[in-house]
Amino acid sequence: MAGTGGGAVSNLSVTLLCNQACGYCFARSLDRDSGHMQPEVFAQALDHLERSGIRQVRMLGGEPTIHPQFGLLLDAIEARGLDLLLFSNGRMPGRAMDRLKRFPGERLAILLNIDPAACQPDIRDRRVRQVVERFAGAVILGCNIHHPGLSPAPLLPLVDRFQLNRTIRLGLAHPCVGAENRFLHPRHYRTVGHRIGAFARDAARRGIRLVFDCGFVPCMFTEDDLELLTTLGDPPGSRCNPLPDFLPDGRLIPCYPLAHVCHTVHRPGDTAETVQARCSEQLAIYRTAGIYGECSHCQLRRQQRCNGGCLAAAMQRLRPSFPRGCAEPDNREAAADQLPSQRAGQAAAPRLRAASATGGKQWAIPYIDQPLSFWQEVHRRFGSAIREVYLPLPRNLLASGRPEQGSEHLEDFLRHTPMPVAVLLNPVVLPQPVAQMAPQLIEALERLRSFTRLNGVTVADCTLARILKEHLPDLALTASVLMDVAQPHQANQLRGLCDALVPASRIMRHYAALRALRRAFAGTLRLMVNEGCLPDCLMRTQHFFEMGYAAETPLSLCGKLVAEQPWMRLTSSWVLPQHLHLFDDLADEFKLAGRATLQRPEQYLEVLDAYVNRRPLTPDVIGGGPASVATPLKIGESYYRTTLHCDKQCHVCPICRDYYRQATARLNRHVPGERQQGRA
Amino acid sequence: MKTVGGHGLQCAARIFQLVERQGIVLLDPQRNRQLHLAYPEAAVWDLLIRRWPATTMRSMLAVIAGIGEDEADRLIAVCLDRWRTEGWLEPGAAP
Repeated sequence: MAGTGGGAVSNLSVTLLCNQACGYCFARSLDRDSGHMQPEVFAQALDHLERSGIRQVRMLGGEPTIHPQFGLLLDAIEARGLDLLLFSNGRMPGRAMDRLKRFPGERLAILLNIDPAACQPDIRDRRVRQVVERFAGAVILGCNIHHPGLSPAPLLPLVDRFQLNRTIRLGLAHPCVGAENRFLHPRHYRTVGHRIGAFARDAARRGIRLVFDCGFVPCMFTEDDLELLTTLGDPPGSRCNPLPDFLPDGRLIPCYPLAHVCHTVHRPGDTAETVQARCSEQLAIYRTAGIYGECSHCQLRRQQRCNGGCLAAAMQRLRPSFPRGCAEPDNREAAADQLPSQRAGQAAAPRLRAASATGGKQWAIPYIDQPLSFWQEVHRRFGSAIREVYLPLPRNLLASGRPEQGSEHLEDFLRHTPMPVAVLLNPVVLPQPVAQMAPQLIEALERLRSFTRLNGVTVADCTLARILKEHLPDLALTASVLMDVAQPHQANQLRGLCDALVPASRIMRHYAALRALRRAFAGTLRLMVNEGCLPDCLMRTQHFFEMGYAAETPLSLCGKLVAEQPWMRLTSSWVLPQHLHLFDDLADEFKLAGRATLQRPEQYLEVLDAYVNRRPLTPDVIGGGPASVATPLKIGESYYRTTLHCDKQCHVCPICRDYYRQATARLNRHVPGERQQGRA
Repeated sequence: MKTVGGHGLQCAARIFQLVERQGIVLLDPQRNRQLHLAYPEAAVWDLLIRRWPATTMRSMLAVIAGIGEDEADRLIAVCLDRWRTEGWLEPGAAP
């Protein structure tokens, strides 16, 4: 039977399309419009493999089995007598499974990349279960560790239970340079190494072999664990110089994470080695970098027992030598001009996430009921920055904490949007007991994902989260801002449940609290930038209840309060685009609110553009809530920064009162008559 | 692009830096070259690209490196001269 390792390898990515939307996926960063690999390109790729002495076709995607000519591709492999290693998520179309079954068993291996949490206590996805039952010994289980809390342990019992291949492959989710994907930051490697150590001992007891994909480093393991892994035959640390992979359009890349930095075309007579040499030459200068600052002086690296980890992860440490002033708003465009990836044709230069003028963050954005052309425009202008478009379920199923929205264009959007979709299941309280509601919600989600790219669900209730995790394990769960998570110990309650967290809006202006939460929560921290609630507002719960369940749009309950003390608007939970950089170290991604307040498409685009590209706005136009600043006040960075670090003694502190009075006076001096232009 | 440290120099375009435990590495992918800076030269580079005024830079470097301000001045001059000659810094417009 074909195995996973040994000898030269080269992957053929036959499609970038997938029937899942894993946030860590490398292939998502590439242009999905390049579609499927044509059979003639596939034939050229097979020629290339044979010329390079490679007898194993490593076919991956996207999800390779959804290639419309999957059977033809297998015919070609079979006709040449080559082995096949198929990377799959297991959710194969029936015809692909049938064709695979006819492939010579001794030459077939299926590397089944699955989420271990989806296998406990049993494999829940029907199609994945069919694959392990039908292909048994040809199946090698694998998982990509994209989260420090992820445990591969549930995979072990499956090997015996289904008589699978006694090998498990472990991979790390690496960053794609110049793109956005969820990845495991090297600061979490030691946590992961500790877990893998325990896993390896259990695997050894069961006679199961572990195979490590690229990017593992020895220093993530204890000495004992490293010795065990070495004894088991696969010491991690030296695997990052891959042979080139074919993309569907025939281009060659050194690997997915470096695809934006280095790619080449196939030349007549090329072999894997000659292409590898070209790529290595382009990337050589970056090999100085290791994933840690200590790597350059590490003994293991000098002894070539470690290569400093994944090069793409190491390149995250590169920073442009810009003068400090370039980070200031008026110089941002100049700084952006220097970003290397923005010059076409200069392949060997990375785009640096943290240094980019946009902050390199992704966005969850609200659905507003606009024609598909609007969403195509959003995708064209901001596509790479959009994590997902979120929307509620129909109100007869579940209220969503906002007045009911239009749905004239919803089905068209859901069926045709190129952007991932997320669903809000986060009313401030559920109208019925969770156990009663859950089945219909699950059914609705399953129906939805049968025809749209459903990426995840936002929840405000842990019990609902647990039920969804159990029944729909491949959906990413986000803890809603309405879960009101503000303390580090609360993050513990989300462990193993939620992949992302939107912190309580009451700490959005509390840097130390956000930082503590950042440390405590190992998943994605998503900050909502334009909610307009007062911190610790005593009317918030009732207000959200009324927005979700009242027949008409309710009045703002805080209206009287902020009319009497308008300076309080300065303390509410918004951040302006020009100040977003103050949160770059805290946030993994951002969320734009505005299902109700940004319904005008031109304003939606203006605000989204400002936030994504960090263009200055005044607080009256950001689409905030009832306690947002209603006038176009200029908010200085030093003042805003002060409010992030103050001691929140608003009842006695004069700072925001004084600032509001002065800013309003300035506004009245400069633009008389325009005071009331902003929206509440 | 603005000048660094008020010295009428600017970082050469497309230079990247890597802060290592024992210094700073400058990478120039276009010219496929790199420069390892140990301390205190690494501190000079760091202060330069942070655009501290020359006088502040001198006093800060003196404190960081444990040297007198005159010696700090000399060190800055030597570094600037070398990095300009080697193309890591380029002449720029006055601030």
